Amino acid sequence: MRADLLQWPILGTYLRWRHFRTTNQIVLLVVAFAIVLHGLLGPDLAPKNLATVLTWVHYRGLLIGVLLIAANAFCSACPMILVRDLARRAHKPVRRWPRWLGRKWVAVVLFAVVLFAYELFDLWALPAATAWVVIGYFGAALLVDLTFKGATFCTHVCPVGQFNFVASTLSPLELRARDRDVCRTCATVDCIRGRRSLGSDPAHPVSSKRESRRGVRPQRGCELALFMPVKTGNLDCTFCLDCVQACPHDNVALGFRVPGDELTDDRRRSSIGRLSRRPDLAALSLVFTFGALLNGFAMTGPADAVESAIAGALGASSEAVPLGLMFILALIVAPLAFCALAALATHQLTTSDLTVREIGIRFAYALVPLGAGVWLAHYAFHFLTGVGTIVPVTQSAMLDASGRAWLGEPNWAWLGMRGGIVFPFEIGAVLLGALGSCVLAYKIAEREYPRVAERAAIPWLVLVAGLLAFALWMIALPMEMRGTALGG
Amino acid sequence: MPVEPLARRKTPALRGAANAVTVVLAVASFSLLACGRGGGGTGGSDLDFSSTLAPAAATVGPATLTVRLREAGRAVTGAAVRLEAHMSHPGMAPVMADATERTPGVYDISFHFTMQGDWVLLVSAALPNGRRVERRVDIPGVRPGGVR
Repeated sequence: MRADLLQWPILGTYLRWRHFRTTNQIVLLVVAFAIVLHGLLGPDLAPKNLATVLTWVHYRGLLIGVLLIAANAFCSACPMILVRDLARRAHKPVRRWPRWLGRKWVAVVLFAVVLFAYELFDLWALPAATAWVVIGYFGAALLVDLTFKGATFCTHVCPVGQFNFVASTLSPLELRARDRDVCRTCATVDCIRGRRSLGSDPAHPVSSKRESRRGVRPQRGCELALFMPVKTGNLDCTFCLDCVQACPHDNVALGFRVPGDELTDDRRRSSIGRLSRRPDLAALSLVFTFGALLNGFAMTGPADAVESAIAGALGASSEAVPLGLMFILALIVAPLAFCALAALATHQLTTSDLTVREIGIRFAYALVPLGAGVWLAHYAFHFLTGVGTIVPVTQSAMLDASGRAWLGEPNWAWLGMRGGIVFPFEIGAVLLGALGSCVLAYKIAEREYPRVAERAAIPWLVLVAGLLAFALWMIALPMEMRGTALGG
Repeated sequence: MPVEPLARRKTPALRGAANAVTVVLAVASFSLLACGRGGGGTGGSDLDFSSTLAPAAATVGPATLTVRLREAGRAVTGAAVRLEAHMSHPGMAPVMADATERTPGVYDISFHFTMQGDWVLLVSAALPNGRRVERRVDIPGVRPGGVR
């Protein structure tokens, strides 16, 4: 019997509670509201403002940590979906996402744009700008999802969501059908179709003890069109648990699996198809991985020097030009060049009919664990060294809001772990990520080239080793906290 | 072909959740918007505040901020001057230091820049007459130790 967290006492009861998601969404909505208010009305010094501290230190650190442990819990609790659901009571969208926009290409571009804007505007140092980012995010989610049906924003637009989808492939948890035989005999497919209430839905008679016990109430099916019998892994799964609520047979499980294994699985999966036929998802994986390296590198002195050198060479007066060039090199040129070289080498070392492009798409997913390791190392550094700062910042916010120190005078001695203590953890995260990438590269090679797997994998292992060396060098550099907010 | 999920009907639970959200947000808005902001910088227009940093090209390591306080043309003596140094990035350890009065109205604050990058120095002074003064001094681009 495989473990199913939904059946565990207390935790399982909470997860299956029909208001589980709404409760978590309300909590995050209140947090978002506090971020916006303090960002706009509080002090303009980033370390003393809830907007910047919560968003860039705590949220990011918790996000990557939770993703790797408990899958897509943050998407599950996304407050934008709560607001959207309320707004859709007044306006129901009728359009579908245009096919010509592709499935993930818009999101891939937006993901890169968010990383670029973060560096260009030094968002971490700007509380008001951070607040406007949050407001803009809510506005964009509403605009998209009041125009298009289903979970269009989550599937095709949300940059954070794409980050979450990719990182959650490394989680040890996934939602899946407990018994596929039960799905084969299911006539109502509520997990994807949803249902109206009893009496209004002739296709749906009361058919289980669970329904008899609870009564049949209206329930949404999967908005991301993940059909449980053929759902594989966590890609595109927001962990909303609508399928859990909808299934009349209690046949959805939240079980354990081997982290990252789904990236080597090329079976056709619901709504997504085969990974080997999704260049957009492969591109997303590359932006995820190289974005991690670039995001970390941008906080070092050498990045500053490179940017200055490019600006000098081009005679650029605006930071946007050299920074934009760095992003093009790091997020487009380097990934394409490295993957093309590795794929070409694999092509030469094997007797495959696959083209270089097809090989590149298949192996690109292998780099995800390394990218996740770098994201974890970077964000964990900020989170672990600054986790305690939320205490004086909250005290200060309360003082700002009420004029009284209801929570005590701000005590800036609250910090976190010392950087030296976190350093071994950073190294461990990156090494573990690289190890995962090596394993995935070999497993993909084994799948595609069972007779010459070692030879096929070698170029990708070399690529992982190169990226690992860069990541270790980068982590060893002293971090440089820059911010144009100072205007100095 | 994806099947469109069915629309939900209003349920008492969802109505309750919506009401709860509305109430929570309204209360939070009121409490934050209605109340004035306490703290913050204060200082009289007749107070002359100036500061110099040594070394002038800040590097990681020891530094001294010298603060000069004059009020109505006279040196302000006996003030309690305190430094709170933050990096521009949130979540980094701030540096706290108290000043010593070197000569009348001249206060030295010795502290350490612990990391390269951009720093913000918040200087607060409690004057003998009970007034409280706060000033912000931006120190961009603190370089690694030994690099000038």
